[in-house]
Amino acid sequence: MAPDPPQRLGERPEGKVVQFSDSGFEIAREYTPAEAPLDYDEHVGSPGEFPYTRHIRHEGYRDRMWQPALYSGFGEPADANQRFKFLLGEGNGRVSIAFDLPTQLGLDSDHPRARYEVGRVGVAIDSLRDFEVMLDGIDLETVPVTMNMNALAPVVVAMLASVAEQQDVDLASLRGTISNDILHEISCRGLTRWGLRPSMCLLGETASFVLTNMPGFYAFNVRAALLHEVGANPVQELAFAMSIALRYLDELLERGYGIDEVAPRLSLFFATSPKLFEEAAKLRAARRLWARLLRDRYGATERESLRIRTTSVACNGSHFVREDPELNLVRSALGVLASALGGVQTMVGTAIDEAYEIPSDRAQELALRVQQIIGLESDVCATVDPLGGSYFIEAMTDQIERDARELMKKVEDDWGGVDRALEEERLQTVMRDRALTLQREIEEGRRPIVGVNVHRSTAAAPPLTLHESDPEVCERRVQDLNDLKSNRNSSDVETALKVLEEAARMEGSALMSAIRQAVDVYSTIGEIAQALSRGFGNDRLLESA
Amino acid sequence: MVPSRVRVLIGKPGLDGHDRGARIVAQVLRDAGCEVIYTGTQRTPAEIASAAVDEDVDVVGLSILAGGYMGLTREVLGELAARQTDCAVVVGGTIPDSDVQTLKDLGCAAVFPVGTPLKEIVSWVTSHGRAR
Repeated sequence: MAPDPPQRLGERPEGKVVQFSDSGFEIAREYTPAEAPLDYDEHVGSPGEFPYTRHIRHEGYRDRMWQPALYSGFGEPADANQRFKFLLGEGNGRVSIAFDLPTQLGLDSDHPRARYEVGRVGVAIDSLRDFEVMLDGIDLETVPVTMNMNALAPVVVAMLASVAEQQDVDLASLRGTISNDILHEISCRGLTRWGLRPSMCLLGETASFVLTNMPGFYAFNVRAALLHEVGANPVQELAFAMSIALRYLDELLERGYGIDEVAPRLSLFFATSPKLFEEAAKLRAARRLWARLLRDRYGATERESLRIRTTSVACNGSHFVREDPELNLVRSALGVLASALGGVQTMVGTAIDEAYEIPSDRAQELALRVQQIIGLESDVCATVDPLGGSYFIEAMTDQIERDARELMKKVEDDWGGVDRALEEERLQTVMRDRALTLQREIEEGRRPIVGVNVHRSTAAAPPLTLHESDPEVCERRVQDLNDLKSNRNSSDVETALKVLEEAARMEGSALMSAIRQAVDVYSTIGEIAQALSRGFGNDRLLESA
Repeated sequence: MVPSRVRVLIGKPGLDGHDRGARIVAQVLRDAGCEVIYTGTQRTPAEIASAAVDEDVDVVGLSILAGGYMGLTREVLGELAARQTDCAVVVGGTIPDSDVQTLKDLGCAAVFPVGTPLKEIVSWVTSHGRAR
């Protein structure tokens, strides 16, 4: 339900004021101890103690601020390398890689379907050689690497592993994350290459490799933030993300892993909006919900299984408007505040030019500064969970957890579980319906967006200096590809791809080693994907063309 | 004589899978009385043009968020011309103001960058049914 028509700041509304959260429940005029939980230990808990409502760490941010983790990537590998280093120099805590669409779908830069898309919204990676260039001069011993890759996750994990080995870095020392979240691709982003079964097979293989060989690396980062972008409200985002996360746990348990081997290696990536209190409550609810689910459903007892690490994007791009883009910096601040008050471990940051283009270096610099100002100049880090004990926050945390549980039950009991619910587009329908509702609220002025439907600026705003994409990138990438193919050992490649195709046909545990081998002899990502398609007998992207 | 409903094809060319905007536009046009076919994501220009002809649409609306709007639009226009159809082509998405005229020069009847009010899109589309 929408709130009453927004008023211009300072005006008095007519009649009784009713306020609703984005999650749909009414927000009371005031909150008192009557609405807040009575049992602190059971319900809230100390920071770093079950159920981890307040923070996963005893010290919170007092000894260690959250880690800024802006993601970037565009053009050729050297371009991405340059931006990564720039961001690290500005205070970014890791390398977080945005791959271009062809790479994410397993298409080489010279594929006809890749035209106009090469290096456009992410870095173009065609082979291990590109990975080497992209990570040149970045010390994998000390710099964590996040890879935003799902359908082709095992390939980039293989590439990272090989680059690490080239740098003489033990795989056991690598830190970072592979998102490896194919179900969110199915429900939100559409970047799948194969049907569900082969995709889950690859997901399992990727996770197995990471669990076995890279103990400092996360095998999953469930992208709740993308559910938000499709239209999910905070409760839906939490419930659906949690359902997907448990699905991944189940997948690995079926492969013979113990809960304590898997659970600590999954993290959740949440959205934030300017509704900072509701978002902080959602993050607190997420930690408590996870802790309780792991204990009650999976019998987990280990601390590392019960406490879930969270990332957020501060704030989600769907809130960053085209009009008056300088104002988006304020929205950044609200998202950072929401995330900090919610106790996340890492924060991605959206840039003010979000509605125009991929971020300029200056816009990303600003996004980092917002995090740094809030972390260093405000007192948000001075104590753990500063909002804890607020009657409002505790009541909302409870409500969001309750509502999320109810929706999770619906997914399981009424919709036949996550796989079936996705196949029948139940989750998608809920999210899309809400997106439409939101858009109507904005266009009818019932949901205020400053600069858009209320308080429109008239004084001239300075134009943004946007990132300019290089139109020659594709051509150079094609040349690089040709160069690679003439310099590598083609019979090694042919053999490796045949072995890979067979491993895909078996859908067994030989897949990852076959992928590694193919990667190491400089097969291209497109060749690897095609071999997988032949082996799986399935290719949803190219078969329909 | 009852005016026939405007027939619209909403298409997403290229590789991007983000279709929140495309779906919203499709629904809003339906609510306004149009007959709307949504192609889904990751369609080739040829597929979009074939669908436009098969469905005998008045307007083809392309949704492009990942930056390839110039090349993709040009290809769709080319595919439509090859099929000798006279439907109008409009483009929406992440398009800077500086490129709007270029798209029109290529042959787009209208351009609706991110932030264009839905009212404006509906008004344009519903007034561009062809005589049947």
